[in-house]
Amino acid sequence: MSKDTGPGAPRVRYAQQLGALLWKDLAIELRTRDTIAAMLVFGVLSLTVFNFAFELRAESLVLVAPGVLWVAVLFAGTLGLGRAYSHERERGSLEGLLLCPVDHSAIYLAKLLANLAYLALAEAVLLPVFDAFFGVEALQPGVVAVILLGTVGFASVGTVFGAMAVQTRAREVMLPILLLPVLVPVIIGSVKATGILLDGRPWSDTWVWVNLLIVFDVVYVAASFALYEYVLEDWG
Amino acid sequence: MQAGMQKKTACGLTATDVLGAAAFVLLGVSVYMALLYAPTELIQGEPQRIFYMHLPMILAAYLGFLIVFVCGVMYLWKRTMGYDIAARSAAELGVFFTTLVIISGGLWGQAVWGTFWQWEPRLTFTFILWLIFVAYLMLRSAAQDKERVARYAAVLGIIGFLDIPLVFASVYLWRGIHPEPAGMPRAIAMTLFVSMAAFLALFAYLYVLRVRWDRAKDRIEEMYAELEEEHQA
Amino acid sequence: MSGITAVYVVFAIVIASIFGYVFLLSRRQREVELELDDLQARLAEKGKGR
Repeated sequence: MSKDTGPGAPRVRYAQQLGALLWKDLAIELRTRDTIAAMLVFGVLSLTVFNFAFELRAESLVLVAPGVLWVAVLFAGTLGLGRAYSHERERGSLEGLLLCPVDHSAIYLAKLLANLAYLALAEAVLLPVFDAFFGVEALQPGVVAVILLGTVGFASVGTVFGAMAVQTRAREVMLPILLLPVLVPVIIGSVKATGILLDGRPWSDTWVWVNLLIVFDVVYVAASFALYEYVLEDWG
Repeated sequence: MQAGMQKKTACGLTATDVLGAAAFVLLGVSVYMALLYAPTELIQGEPQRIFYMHLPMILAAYLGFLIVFVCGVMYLWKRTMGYDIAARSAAELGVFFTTLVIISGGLWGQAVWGTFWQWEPRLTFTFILWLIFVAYLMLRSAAQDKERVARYAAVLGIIGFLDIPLVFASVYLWRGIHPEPAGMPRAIAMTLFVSMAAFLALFAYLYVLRVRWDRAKDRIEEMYAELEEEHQA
Repeated sequence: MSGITAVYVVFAIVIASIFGYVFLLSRRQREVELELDDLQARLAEKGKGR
C-alpha cells in the first residue's frame, strides 16, 4: 500500500485494499500463531472439562453434545477475539491504518474476514476432537454449514465489540459481557440446528433455525459494517 | 443556570411537580382498581392481578430501550452530549423497570406454577433484554473518556435494540408459542388502561428527574473547568 | 405463596422501589444543586476579585 498513499496517487481498488488488509492480519498471525494457538488449546480444554463435568451421566453425553460444542466454540472464539484486539492495540497498527486513504468499510470487512478465518481454523480442529471425545458425527456437511452460519453471526458482532472492549478498563471481562447476551439468538439457533442434525433428523427440520441464523447474520453484518467506523474514531 | 431553572405554574409548582403528582395519583387509582375494581380472572385467579403492574412496566422498559436506540442514532449523527444524557437516563430507567418486571414475573410464576424461575419464553426474553442493557450500563462505567463512552454506548445501544426482535423470535421458537388470552372484559381493560397511563406518567416523571440530575452534573463539571481557567488566568 | 399474597408482595415491592428511586433521585439532585450553588458563588467571587 505504501507507494500508493501519496496525495495524487490513484485510489487503490477496493478489492485490492481488502486483500492487502486481510493479508496483513493473516501474515502476522502466521508469524506469531498466538491467537490461533490460544483458541485451540482453550477450545480443546473446554471440551475436556465438559467431558468430565458430564461423565457421570454417560448416556446423556450425546444429548448435551451440541451445547458442549457451541460453548467450546463461543469461549474459544471470545478469547481469540480479545487476544487479536489486544495485539492490535499493543502494536498500534490500526491507528496507522486509519491514517491511510483506505475505505473504512474495507477495514471492517478485512477484520471480519480475518476473525472468521481464525474461528474457522479453530473449528476445523475442534470438530474432529469433538467427534472423538463425544462419539458423535459432527463432521458432516449440514453441521459444518450450521457452524459456519453461526460463526458469521458471532464474528460480525464480535468484531465490533472486540474493538470496543479492548479500549475499556476491564477488557477481558467486558467482551463476553457485551457479546454473549446479544448472541443468544445465534446460540439458540445453532444449538438447536446442530442437535437436530446430530440426532440424524432430516435437514429440512432445521429450516426454522437456519433461517434465524441467516437473518441474524444479515442484520448484524450490515449493522456492524455501518457502525464499525464510529468505534474506530480515535482508536488507540 | 439551566439546571435549576424551571417555569412555575400559577400555584408555585413546577411542571415536573405537577407531572409527579399526576403520576402518583394515577398509580394510586390503578392500584385501587387492580386490587378492588377488577374482577378475579377465571383461569388464573387472584395472581392475574399482578398483570396490571407487570404489563405497563414492561412497556415502560421497552419505551426506555427505544429511547436508547433513537438517541444513540441521533448522538452518532449530531454528536451533542444532550442525546447521550437522554440515552443513559433511558437505559437506567429501562433496566430499573425490567428488574421489577423480572421480580414480579417470578413471584407471579411462584403463585401460578409453584416455581420462581422457569425458562418460559416471556421470562427468558425479558431476562436476556435485562442482560443486554446491564452490559450497556457496565460498558458505560468501564470506558474512560466521556466522548468515547457516549460513542461506544450509542453503538451498543443500537446493536442491542436490533437484537430485541431476534431474541424474541428465537426464544419463542425455542419454547413454543403460548396461547394468548383472547378478548377481555371491560373492567379488566379499564384497569389495564389506567395502570398503563399511570406507568407512562411515572416513566415521564422519573425520566425528567434523571435527565435533570445528569444535566446538573455536567454543568458542575463545566463550572469546575471554568474555575480552573480563572485560577490559571 | 397463595395467590393474593403474591399480588400484595408484588405491589409492595413495585411501589417501594418506585418511591425509593424517586427518593434517591431527589437526594442526588439536592446534593448536586448545593454543589452548583457553591460553585456559582465561588465563580462570582473570583470574577469580583480581578
